[in-house]
Formats: sequence, C-alpha cells, structure tokens
Amino acid sequence: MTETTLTARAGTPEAPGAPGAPGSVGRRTSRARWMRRARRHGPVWVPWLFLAPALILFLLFKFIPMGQALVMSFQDVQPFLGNQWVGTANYETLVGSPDFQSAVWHTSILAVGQTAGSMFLGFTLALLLEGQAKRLWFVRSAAFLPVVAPMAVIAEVWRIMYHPTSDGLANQIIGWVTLDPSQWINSPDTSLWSVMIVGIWRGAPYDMIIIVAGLVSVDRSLYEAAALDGAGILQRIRYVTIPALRPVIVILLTLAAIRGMRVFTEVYLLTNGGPNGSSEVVMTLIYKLGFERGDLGVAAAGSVVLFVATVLLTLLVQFARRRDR
Amino acid sequence: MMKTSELMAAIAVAAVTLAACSEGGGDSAEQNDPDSQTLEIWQRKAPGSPSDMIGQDMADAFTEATGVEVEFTSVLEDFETKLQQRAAQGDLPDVVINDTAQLGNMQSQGLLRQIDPAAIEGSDRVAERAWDAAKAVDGEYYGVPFTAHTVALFNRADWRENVGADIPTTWDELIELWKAYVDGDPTGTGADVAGIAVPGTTKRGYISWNTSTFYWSGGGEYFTEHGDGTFSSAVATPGSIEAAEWIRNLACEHDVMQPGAGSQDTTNTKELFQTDGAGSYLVAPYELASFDIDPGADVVEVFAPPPGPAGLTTLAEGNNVYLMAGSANEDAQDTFAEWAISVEGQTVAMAGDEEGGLVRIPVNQDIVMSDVREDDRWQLFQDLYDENGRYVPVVPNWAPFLQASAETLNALISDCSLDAETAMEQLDEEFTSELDAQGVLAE
Repeated sequence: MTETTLTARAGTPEAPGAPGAPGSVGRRTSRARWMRRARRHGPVWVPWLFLAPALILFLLFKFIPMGQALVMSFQDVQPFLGNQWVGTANYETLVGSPDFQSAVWHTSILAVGQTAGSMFLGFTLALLLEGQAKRLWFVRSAAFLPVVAPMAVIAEVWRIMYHPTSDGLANQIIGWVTLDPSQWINSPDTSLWSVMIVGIWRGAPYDMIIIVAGLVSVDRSLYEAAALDGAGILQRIRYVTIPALRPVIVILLTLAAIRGMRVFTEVYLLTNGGPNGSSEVVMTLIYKLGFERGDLGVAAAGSVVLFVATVLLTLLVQFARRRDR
Repeated sequence: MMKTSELMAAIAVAAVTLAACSEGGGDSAEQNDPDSQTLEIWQRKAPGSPSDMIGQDMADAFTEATGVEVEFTSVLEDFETKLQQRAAQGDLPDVVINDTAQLGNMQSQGLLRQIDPAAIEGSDRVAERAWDAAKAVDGEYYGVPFTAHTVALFNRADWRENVGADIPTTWDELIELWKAYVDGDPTGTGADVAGIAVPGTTKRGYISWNTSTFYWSGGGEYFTEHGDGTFSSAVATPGSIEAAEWIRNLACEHDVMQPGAGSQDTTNTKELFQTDGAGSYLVAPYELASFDIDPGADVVEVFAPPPGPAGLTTLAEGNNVYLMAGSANEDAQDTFAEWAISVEGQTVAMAGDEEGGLVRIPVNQDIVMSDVREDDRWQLFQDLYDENGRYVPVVPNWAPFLQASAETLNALISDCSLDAETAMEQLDEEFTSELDAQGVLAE
C-alpha cells in the first residue's frame, strides 16, 4: 500500500504539461526529461535487470501455474491420459453444487466477522497501548505474538482449549459467567463461530500495530481543541480519532477482505469444514475437491472463481477509496 | 505498471499454451535393454521411519537376489499429489507400493499396467482374497498383492479387570464394558476417560474408514452389486440405517466415544489411547509395537471385536505392488513383482517382530506366521483376515464415497438431533449421483 501512495505522489509533478501547449514543445520537453533521467539513473533497462530475478521466479512459480490453473478449469484433468476439454462444465458443476453455495456463504460470514472483530479489538487495544513508555512497548510486543506464531501451532493450542467437556479451558472461562459448557468446534451450531474467534484473536494484534502507527500521526492539538469544546472520550474517538484513521482503516479493510476470502489453515486444522459442512469455506472445499476427491478440474474452476472474486473485491475497495477523495 | 502486467500476462499465456501442448500420456514406452534395467520404487511411508529403513533393506535384498538396481523412496505427505505431478510429466516411478483402496483411482487415470496373474511366477501361492483386492471394476488385475491386514480391538486389560468385566462376546456386552469405563473410574484416579477412541474427522474419510467394521457387522452395506459391473446404493436400506445409528449412539446415547471425536484424526486418537484417555481402540496390527511401549505391553490386550447383528466383518486392507504405466523397464517391473510375492521377498519385508514391517500379514500362503514372528498376537490378525476380512467395494473410484459417508457419519455424531434416516437417505442420493458420474450406476 505504501508503494501506491508513493507512486501517486511521485506522479503529480510529472502530470502533463500546461494544457494547450503545442505538440512539438511537449515532445521536446519529454525528450529532455528522458535524457535527464537517463543521465541520473543510467539506461532504462537497468531497473529491469535488477527486477529480473524476482520476475523470473514469479513467472515460473506464480504466473505460469496460474495460467495453467485457468486452462485446467476448462478441462477434465487426467494428467497421464491427457486432459479433455469440457468447456464450462466444471464451472457448472461447481456453481450448481449446494456445497459450494454454502461454502461461499460461510466464507463471507467468516470474512465479515473476522474483519469486524479484529478491527474492533485491534482498535481498542491500540487505544489502550498507544504511547512511548517502555512497559507499553513490552505489552505491545506480547500482544503481537499471535501474529508471528505459526497458524498450525495456534490451531493445535485452540483445539485443546476448545475441549468440549467442562474441563476444557474455554468452557471453564465461559463457566465463570455461568454459561453451560459449549461443544465449540464439535457442533454444527458453534463451529463457524469458534473458528471466527480464533481468527479474531490472531488478526486483532496485527490491526493494532497498524492502528497504533496511524494514531501517532493524529494531530494532538485536535484532541485538545475537542476537549476544550467539551467533547468526552467517546466523542473524541468518534469525531477526531476515527476520521483521522480513515486511510489506515481502508488499508486494513482491503487486506482483511483478501485474507478473509482465502481463509484455509485455521479451518482445515480446526474443523476441516465439519461437522456436517457447517464450517466449510471455499478454500477447504477446493482442497477437498482437488486432493481428496481427485477432481482437479472442478477444483481449478473453484480457484479461478475465488481469484476473480478477490480481484473484484480489491478493485471495489480501491474504487471506493478514490471516490472518497 | 499496467504495461508490466500486460507483458507478464502475455508471457504467461504463451507459456501455458506451450505447456498444454507438451502434455499428454503415453502408451507402452520404448524398453531399455533388459540387462541394464533399473527401478525407481515409491512407497507411501514416512521418510526416515522404521518402515522406510525396512524398505531400503528390502530394496538391497532385491538387488542382491536379482541384480536389478533400485532407487527406493518413501513419500508420505501428499503422496497422491506428488504422483499426479509425476504423471503430468509423463514420467511415473516404475513401481509404486500403495494402498489397495487406491487401485480404482490410479487405474481410472490410466496410471497402471494391467497384470496377467498367470504370467507372474508364484502367483498361485498368493491368497485368493488378496488377489481380489488387486482387481478393478472391469474384472482385470492392475496390481500384485504385497501385504494384507485387518483390524482388531485393542483394549486396556487392567481397566477391564478393575471394573470386573470379562472379554465381551456380544455388542451389548461391549457397550456395557465401555460404559463401565466411563462411569466406573477404571484408572482409580477419578480422571474422565472414554470407552472407545474414534478418529471422527472427515479428513481422509477417517470416520467412515474406522467404523466400517461396525457398519458391516451391524448389517450396513455401501452398495448392491449387480454382477455386470454396475452398482446401486445401499446406504438407505434398513440394515444400513440401523448400523449407522448404532455408531452414532456411541456418541449420542451411550456417551462412550471420546468428547470432541468429530474433529480428531488418528494421531489424536492414538495419543488418547496411549495416554490413558480411552479404554479401547479399533486399529490394525501396525500399532502393536507402539502400544507395547505406551500404554504398555502388560496392560494392553487385543481381541476380535464381538460379532454384531450381521455377524463379524472386519475391514481388510493392504498394499499392492503397482507396476506403473509408461515404464521403460517392464522386465524389471515383472522381476520385482515376482520377488515381492516370493517367500524370500515377503519374509524380508515382514522384518520379524521389528516395528514398521512392510508386510503385516503375508499374502504368500507358504509362509507360516509363527516361523517369522514370535509375537503370537499376529496370528489373531491372520485368522481375522482369513475368516472375516472384507475389502472396500471395488468401484472405479472409492475416494468420493469414502468422503461422502465420512461426512454423514461425522454429522451424525456431532449433531445428536439429526435424524439418521434422513441423513442416510441424503447420502443415498449422493452415492447414486456419484455412481452415475463414474458410469457404473445400475439401470
């Protein structure tokens, strides 16, 4: 995201010259600018040379496989016998299956819930932990730990905490507020929510750190002015902090939306989409179709649909952001 | 920025087109000189595990006996995916040692060479039952049997004595025993324990796989076979519904299955049994060695599950030696297949009483179990396999059925309010449409 901001800023001075300027002059200036740039930065191909290693790796391990997945999504995939073209049959199978429809629904619930939950918790944590003091730095680092711990470890720890008897840690905690023991990930009614809690727990500290960074840039005098005008804490948050954090929130929303669509590891490890498909998300369904049922064509179609959805969502957020300005 | 991405897209499309053109499988490949043929063998076992070591020893013994050089590799994680990748390159390993249940899946993708048992030396000494597991739905053979096994009930003998029960001989006694574990504090510590540990997750179809012994013994069936290679679903018959209900009641009515079973796989259940969390565990003899360490040889007993309403049927499984298609070393493949079923090959792969033996129950009938292994519990598994063993049905691809039935059973144990009959009827519809998709649905 920083990149975008930088390019946008750098772009401003290079905006087309004065309107109505004769073409020849324009050409001359652009040529002069090019020469100037070449003198300062060396030949044009130099940046490409430096980019080449990364680009070649991306080409081999990202773009070609992505292209192949697109091709596979129109084929009945039989690696050894040779793939057969089946047109859009894979897409029809996929979209027509109730499993896919409910997976899309679950993915959406999970994405919205995790995004909102992480943002709220992250914001609260950020307000509590903002500041320069050494002890705050320590607490912030401690709070950040879930983000750096491997997802596999987190899932295993939560699976133990979610033990469905009254001895389970999570059940002991809700027992303090006299709730009955829950089945957590083992019941179709609670599995998706249980996964969501893990996601929020993991995502919130990440949001916190970015929001803390954003809070630093909020003009202190605005708080003072608001306080002088008689605004309470909640009003100051509502009318000063949140508007000032708008760009940060947009960035977090974009990232969270993309992350939400691709949610896989925690679901796979905690519930594997069960029980009774109650926590099946698009990625676990694609995995099952491809690697457990051996239906690689349909799985590829699912990946393409997911990819398109992610791109659309990202564009939508970007568009909303531009219009906002 | 735009230009770069356009360029990348163009290059990607071009590369894809090239890749797509170069794909495609082969008929029988040009053969290497018979005297200089070598083999690349894959088995589905963890690298570095005892089974991997025994596999390497077996490969060395084979090279010594026949002069054929072998490159032997154990692969566990994503075995099928890695095989697919090799298939996509048109360069499969020469030999793959893998589950019998994978035969349909590999055969339908054209990965396997057809076998003529009559042309394999020593094939007449291989048990008939084992050959059945090397047959595809078209009635032809696509693998050579290598090892077989079935399951039996591992039980905590000390707990059983503590609650004053005998070895159960009926399903009712079995439930009584498990209930006594749950209620009777068999450990004397007051700790909560379960009657039986069941890997109830849908992952790899674990729950369906683990409970199929109970499903069959309780009168359940997956298909009705019509003899002409066609099937119809049998999961909504009264016997099947009753059997599924019995399995779900372990969790819902009797409360003897471990809590949280629905999200646990075999790693979790094995650990549960080993750490005094459950009294029984239905599993194959490959766990004998590790259960002798934990919970300990002195407290573990193993016996045949008591017969259910439909008698006793235990899930039979095993590995076949698959001779892969497109190999340039067909003579060496045949040599390996013949050696693998010979008394010598089988004995080497049994590895005595060592942990991780590749051959559990030998398929060669000339081998007397007690000559090779001192542990007489193996005889129980041998008898169960011979008398009660049953392989999963031979449909073109069993995996989707395993997965679908696992999802239904997982739902039944996780949601006790779900009506078993309705759930099994839904499964019946899924089975029917999958049979249709595989082209073997009876009219």
